[in-house]
Amino acid sequence: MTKRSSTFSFDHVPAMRGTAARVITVTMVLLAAMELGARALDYTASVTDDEDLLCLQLERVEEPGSVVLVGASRIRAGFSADVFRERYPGRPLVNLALAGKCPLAMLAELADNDEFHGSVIYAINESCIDPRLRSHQRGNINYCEQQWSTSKSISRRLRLALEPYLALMRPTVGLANVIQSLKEHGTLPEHDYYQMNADRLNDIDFSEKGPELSKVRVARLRAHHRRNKPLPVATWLREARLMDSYAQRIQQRGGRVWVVRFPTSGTFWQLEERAYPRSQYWDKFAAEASAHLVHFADLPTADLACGDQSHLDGRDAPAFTAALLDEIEKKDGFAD
Amino acid sequence: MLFNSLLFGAFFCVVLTLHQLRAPWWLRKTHLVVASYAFYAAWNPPFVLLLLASTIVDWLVARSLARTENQLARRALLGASLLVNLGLLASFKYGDFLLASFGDAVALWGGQWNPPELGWVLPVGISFYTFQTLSYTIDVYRRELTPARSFLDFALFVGFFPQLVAGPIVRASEFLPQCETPQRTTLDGLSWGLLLVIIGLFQKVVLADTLLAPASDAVFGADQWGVLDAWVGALAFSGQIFFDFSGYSLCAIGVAGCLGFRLPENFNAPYAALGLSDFWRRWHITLSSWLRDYLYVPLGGNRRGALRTYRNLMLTMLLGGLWHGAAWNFVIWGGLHGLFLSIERYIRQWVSPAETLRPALLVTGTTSTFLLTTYAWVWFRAADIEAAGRISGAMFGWSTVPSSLHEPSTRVSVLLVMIGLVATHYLTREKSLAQTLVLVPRPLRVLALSLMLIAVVMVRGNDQAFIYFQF
Repeated sequence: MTKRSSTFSFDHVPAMRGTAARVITVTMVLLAAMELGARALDYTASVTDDEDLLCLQLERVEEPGSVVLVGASRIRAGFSADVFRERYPGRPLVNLALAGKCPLAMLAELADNDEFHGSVIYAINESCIDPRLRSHQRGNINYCEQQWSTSKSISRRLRLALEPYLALMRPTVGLANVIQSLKEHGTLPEHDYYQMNADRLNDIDFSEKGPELSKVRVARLRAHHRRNKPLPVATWLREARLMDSYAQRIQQRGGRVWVVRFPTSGTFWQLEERAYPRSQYWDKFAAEASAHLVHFADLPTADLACGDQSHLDGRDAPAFTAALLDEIEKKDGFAD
Repeated sequence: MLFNSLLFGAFFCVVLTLHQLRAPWWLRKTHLVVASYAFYAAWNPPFVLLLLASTIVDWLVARSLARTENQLARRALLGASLLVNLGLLASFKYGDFLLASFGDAVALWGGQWNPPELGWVLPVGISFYTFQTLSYTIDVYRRELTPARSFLDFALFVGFFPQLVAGPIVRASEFLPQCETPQRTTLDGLSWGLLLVIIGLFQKVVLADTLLAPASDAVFGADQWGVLDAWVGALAFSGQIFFDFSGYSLCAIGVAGCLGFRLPENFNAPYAALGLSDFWRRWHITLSSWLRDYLYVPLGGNRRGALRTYRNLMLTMLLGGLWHGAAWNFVIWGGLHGLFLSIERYIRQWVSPAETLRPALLVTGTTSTFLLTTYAWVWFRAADIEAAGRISGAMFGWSTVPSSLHEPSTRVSVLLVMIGLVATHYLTREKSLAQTLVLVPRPLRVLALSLMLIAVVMVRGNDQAFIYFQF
């Protein structure tokens, strides 16, 4: 060996053992103090949703007897994992719902998966049955199919093991968010009004933010209806039949598909009903569909008011879930 | 598996613990090789075969080189190594670029040929480990190095996980001797290594990703720019790429140090460089010294007259640019550095080294060097040549668009970070990081490093990859 011309940090290692030990101690103490401080200020720990967490769930769909939740934010707010587990101990619950995105692509994905023989609770609202919104969730599925890896899986599981216990891991109290809030409002960030669990289900408390959010939701829906005229019944039914064809394929393999209209209430529900009157759309589809259809208005919990008119409050989710599961059991139940 | 991820934290804890076992050295080295391959497989498992192939080829070639005296056979062996290593690099990294460029050339001559799109995934770190294995074989060919005695040592040299995917580019002459004697974690080494990792993570997660990347991305993702926008974007990227890559290098050196291994320094206050040649002695030192030893000097270096020297400088920098990425803007970036180096070489004939030490000239010289490198980064970062040209134009005032891409507070924070960075480099240009840290009173040092670590934990970010992974 002859050549050697570089300089090395470790040629002359400075005596830093005291510094390193103190840095680690000070950091641990300060972080513990910050965690306690965050909790004292009512910031709570919560799982944070992301694409990797969805992939973790998607990995589990082939587990025997699985019940898979497909939909958007309403099923994540309105379905109670506790009620489900109490009633079906040991049965896998898989949550593939993606907030803000219409779910047809996910149903198609399950239909294409010949190894999937489980049951689907497919939460849909009328305006999501629209050919323009077919591939809303496709990007997330592609991510899981093309970029998901063992290392990402381990990495996400590690974070998942910590997130439910450490308030500091919540993005709300992340340094960037705190600085931005102080800069813009002169106050600490607002508290989150929901908690998410490892099933990606949200426990929402609308008691403070409900009225404010209701106005936002109604205004957004009005704007949406101004931009997107409701589909003619024939077009809508054609699209609903496509959805039903996916359900049929799952059912032909021994699975079950429950198409559920989750609750909305107040002005929001009136606007939805005006755009897509139930008798002209949902009921016509229900009469011909091979999937089982459940409308919230037909359940004993029909008069539950949504906290923001669009999503159930966490305190009402157990009652709704129990009513929904009763209805499912009364008819065909879940696949074995 | 990124240094700034929980997964790496867990992986490293396991590796570090197993490294402490009282087992024979060969067994502990085997453990490090297995860990390195697992680390590499975390990105794309099949590509470990590529790493293994490169390792086996150069191991066999070097052993054959050492055994034969026949010059023709030696050349053939070297050629085989170059063909395999550069062939893999060219196929995976430059395949689409070469085909597209050929298609463009055909079109220039009036013909038409639509190149097929290979769309091959770039194996992470291929540019780095290819350069490492090449330097080994070339050194053996030149008889400057005796081949590694053990395949295990050589496999560890090629695949050692702290520096596998983004350097520093280690020479066999620096690493193989470390494999011959058992390397153990010492308390001082562990402490210093951890501190380097903390500083590296702070540079990457807080300064590069959180403070500077948004300001830079806002400019390089836009399609029109005011003068101020362009300058803020260029300055922000200048800082971002330093903190990103220097942060990675510090983490790599620190992680290796925790295991008892020494990796070479990769950065030494580059933004306080006086002239471009000084810049390249301070920036990505292990790449620039590689290019010097295996490209510039074999081309003739500065030994065959002024014109040949300028040609060699330009060729070296053009290829250095291309090493960074398969796109013409990287070539132009390299060309700009070649041009600046040539001009500097020409000017230096008239300026004595003593004169450059005059404070006024030092300040002017370092400032000009910083501004020139910052300008060149625009070509490095922009999506394509057209965008780079337009942002360059905006920097020189050819823009009628008002600057609106950043909030005033963003501009101020970019400016403050960059002033702080350049001033720190200026003040520490003759000192190592260890010498600088030792000068800071211990309570202040502990507080600063603790706050850095807390900021890393609290910022979290989204485990963004290091910029140099794509090269």
